[in-house]
Amino acid sequence: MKKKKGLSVLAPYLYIAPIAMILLTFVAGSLILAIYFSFTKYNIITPAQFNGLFNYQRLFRDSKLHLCIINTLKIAAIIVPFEIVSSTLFAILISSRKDTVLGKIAKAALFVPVLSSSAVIGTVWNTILNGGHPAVKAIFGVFGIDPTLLLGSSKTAFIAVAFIIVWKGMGYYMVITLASLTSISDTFYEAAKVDGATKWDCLTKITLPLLKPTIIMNIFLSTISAMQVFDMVYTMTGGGPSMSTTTLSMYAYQLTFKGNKAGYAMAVSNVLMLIVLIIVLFQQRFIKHENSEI
Amino acid sequence: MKKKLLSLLLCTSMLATLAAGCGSKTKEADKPKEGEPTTLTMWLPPLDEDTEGNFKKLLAGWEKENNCTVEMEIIPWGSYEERWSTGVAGGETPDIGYMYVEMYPTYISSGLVTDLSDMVEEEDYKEYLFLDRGEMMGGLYGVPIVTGVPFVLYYNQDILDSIGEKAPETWEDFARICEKATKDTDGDGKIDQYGYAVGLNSGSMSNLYVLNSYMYSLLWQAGGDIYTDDLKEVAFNGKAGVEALEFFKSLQPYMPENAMSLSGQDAFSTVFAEGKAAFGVTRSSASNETTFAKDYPNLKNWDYVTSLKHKEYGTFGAADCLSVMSTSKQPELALDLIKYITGPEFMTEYHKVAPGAPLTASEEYVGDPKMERIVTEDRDKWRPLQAGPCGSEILENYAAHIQAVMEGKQDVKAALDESASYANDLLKEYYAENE
Amino acid sequence: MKKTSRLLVDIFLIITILLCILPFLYMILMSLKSTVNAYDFDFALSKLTLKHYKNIFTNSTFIRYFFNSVFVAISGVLLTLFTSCTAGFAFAKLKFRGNDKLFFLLILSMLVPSGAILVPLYLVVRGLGWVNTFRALILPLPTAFGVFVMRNAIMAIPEELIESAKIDGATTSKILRTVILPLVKSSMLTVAIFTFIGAWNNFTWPLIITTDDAYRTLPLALKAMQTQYDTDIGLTMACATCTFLPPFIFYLFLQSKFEEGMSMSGLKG
Repeated sequence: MKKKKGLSVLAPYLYIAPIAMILLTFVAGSLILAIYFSFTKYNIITPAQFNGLFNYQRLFRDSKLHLCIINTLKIAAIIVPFEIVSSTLFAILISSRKDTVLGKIAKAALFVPVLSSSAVIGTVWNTILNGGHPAVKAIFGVFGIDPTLLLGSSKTAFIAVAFIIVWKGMGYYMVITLASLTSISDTFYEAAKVDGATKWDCLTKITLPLLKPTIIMNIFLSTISAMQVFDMVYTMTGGGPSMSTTTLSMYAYQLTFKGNKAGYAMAVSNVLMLIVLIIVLFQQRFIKHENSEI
Repeated sequence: MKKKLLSLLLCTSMLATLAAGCGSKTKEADKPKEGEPTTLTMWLPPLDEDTEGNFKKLLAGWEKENNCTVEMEIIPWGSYEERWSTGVAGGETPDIGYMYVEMYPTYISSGLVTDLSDMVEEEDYKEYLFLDRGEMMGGLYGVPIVTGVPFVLYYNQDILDSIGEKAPETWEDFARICEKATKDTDGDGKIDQYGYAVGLNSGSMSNLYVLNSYMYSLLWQAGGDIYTDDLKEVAFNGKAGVEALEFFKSLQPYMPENAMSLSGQDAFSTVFAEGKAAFGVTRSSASNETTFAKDYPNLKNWDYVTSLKHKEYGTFGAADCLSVMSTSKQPELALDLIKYITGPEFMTEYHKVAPGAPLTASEEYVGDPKMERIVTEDRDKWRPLQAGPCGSEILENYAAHIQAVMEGKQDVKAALDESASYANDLLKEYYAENE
Repeated sequence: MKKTSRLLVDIFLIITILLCILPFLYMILMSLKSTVNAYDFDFALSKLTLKHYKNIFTNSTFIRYFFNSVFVAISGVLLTLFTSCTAGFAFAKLKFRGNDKLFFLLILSMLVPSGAILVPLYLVVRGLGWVNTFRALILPLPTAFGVFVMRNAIMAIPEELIESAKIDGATTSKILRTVILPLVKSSMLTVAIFTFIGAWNNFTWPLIITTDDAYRTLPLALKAMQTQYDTDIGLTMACATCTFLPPFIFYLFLQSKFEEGMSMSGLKG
């Protein structure tokens, strides 16, 4: 009897054990190494030499790093809200058409950009923007924009890239949102209908509140990935023009593999992690304030 | 309950056993005895669509003769340096590696590349045409395998004819033709023919593409270079460097309006090759006549100048090498293999699959006739980069500042000085640590 | 009024669909051409060719690499589903000391940028002696993402369902299998498809952790065909199509299986 009790106290931990072991070995293990390397002079190919706080001191006088932090924040500030709003919107629209052919096609189609590689998407959008096709020019012309100049200016390149990332990523969050929409029982809506609720009421009083945990999760996921943007920028602009789209991950990558400063790159990555942590905690607090849970 | 828990436990412990795994099996190849079969490992990027297959076929004879198996690993371009550095960190280096100039300084100063100076003979320099271009940082660190394909200036003969011009030879010629060629040909008030098809967006290609295509040539033609001769400082902000960038900036009115958004390759293929510009730059290839005819049907009448001349001739042509790594237990055999691969027997056959310039005196030129002068009379008009410390960082920063100038964010002198002071700080730190 | 607004939304959706399948169309069409010009839109029949696909499929390593990829991705999906469902369930429905804190730690692991730990991860896995093993390719695949999704989904399940199952004498693990999991199939599907994509597209990690053909995955074979300059856009796109299709088919397959299952079990979502 006693033994059984012991086991049932242990049981929850056993359920967590598999993922915990994996993360401890691979993520925590690597992270500890990464933190250690951030205190060393390390170029990967020769053994690391401890050099104290040198890398961290360098962080403060590295103006390139400061530029990259600002670039990353600017790009993320566009990506996160647009990704969340568009993915939620499409999930709701598609869910209301889930039995129609259009709904089914839309569900598959929105997933296409998620599955396509950044190289393909980069080439496609480069072709669309730079191709100078009259129809494309006309559409952008409505907003007073010349598409062929977008990627070539420090003022607009990061915006263009951010929107293309939104366009690629919204299907991802849509699928997550759609999954939790399907688990909202129809009985809620039927009961609401009996009470004479309008569609708008259903949306604001039932759907969105029930989606809240999912939306919060999506904000969290989107923030993390937006702060680590790499591939798409790399294919669209290579970080240019004049470094205006170089993100923190790109900078860390260049330092590691092109600059032979892996030790310093790890310090930069730690800064990136810290920034994301602060943003996430801030978001949490803000959302908690609104009385919810992650 | 217990049973279920047990099964869960089992799954978990399965993971644990997996995690415990078997110990690492490191194979330390000792120096092989005479007559025993041996192995050489070689790391290469993709040089054609089936590099391993094509190489293997041509190596069979050598393998048999030397009783040695060649194990090749083809490392995709996308993660070439990642594979190298992690591999070296984990203690697995190949016997032979394909490397490009930007990689050498770190690997040489870490003592990972064998200096071949004492292993080659005087006559090798006669046979291996580009061997001198494997010399860097005071030693001979590789035998060029991909070279003879510099970035050259292509021109549209029809456009030049229409404005009564001949192929340019000097900067003045070039600027004049650019100016004359830039015009509105169909009378709708918009310019639709440009002087110089330039693309400065570095997406999808290396960030250094801007330098490869447009900047090194001007810098060298003006008599400048990236580093000073002793590699202690950079020189690109000197008089020649300023003159080169100012000249480039002065050509901006003759470039497409969206030059900043276009990538260099797209500028070539969508502006120049569509017959909409007098000049374009791209990496040449011994098969350009064939490929252009196929890919660019609207480019009918074209030719090229290997290099303009201002103070000197000069344009960028890589010399990627095969090197013997110092961890190799059989450096002589490795060098023998490299000489075989770059030698006439192998390359004559290989260049039939993947066209390229002959690497040895006894190899015949098999490419398109129009491209041959690059490796004959124009041979000294192009050259690889200086291999210098902190290369990638310095050059990427230099490229970013060129973009800033072309965007109008900075003026030439200020941009170059800023970039040079960044570079010199890096170099100072490098020499402080390494001396 | 109602009809027009629905029609407008439909049109909006159709435009979005068209915009989304653009890259797909571009990819397929360009993969049938042989050119270095990305803007070359001449699709006359005489210009189309299947040569890239022939090249890819006759590549000596293709079949082997393809099956390696399938094996790695499917094992990764199963392992991830196992770890996420168990842990997600524990965090959502079981009471134990440190639940919130452990979950928070788990979530924190998602903040670690994967690029930054590439080299350390290599050293760790190398230290375990796993270079050239399937373990090295599969075991790092599960992440906290799956746990997060599953926990969210399971939390939405009413407590009464679990209580009544308990009263019927079901054990915890039986509750998980028979009560909980059938209700969160759509989220399991989400986790499965995202894990599959991640595993399938993984490129740098398999490249540095395997040297032996026996363990290498498809992206490596495809990327090894692409030269640095004068790359044939057609070949690049044919490779992209080959990378794109398996996860897409996997997605459609799971989606239809899932809908089938729903209508059969009479569970109305």
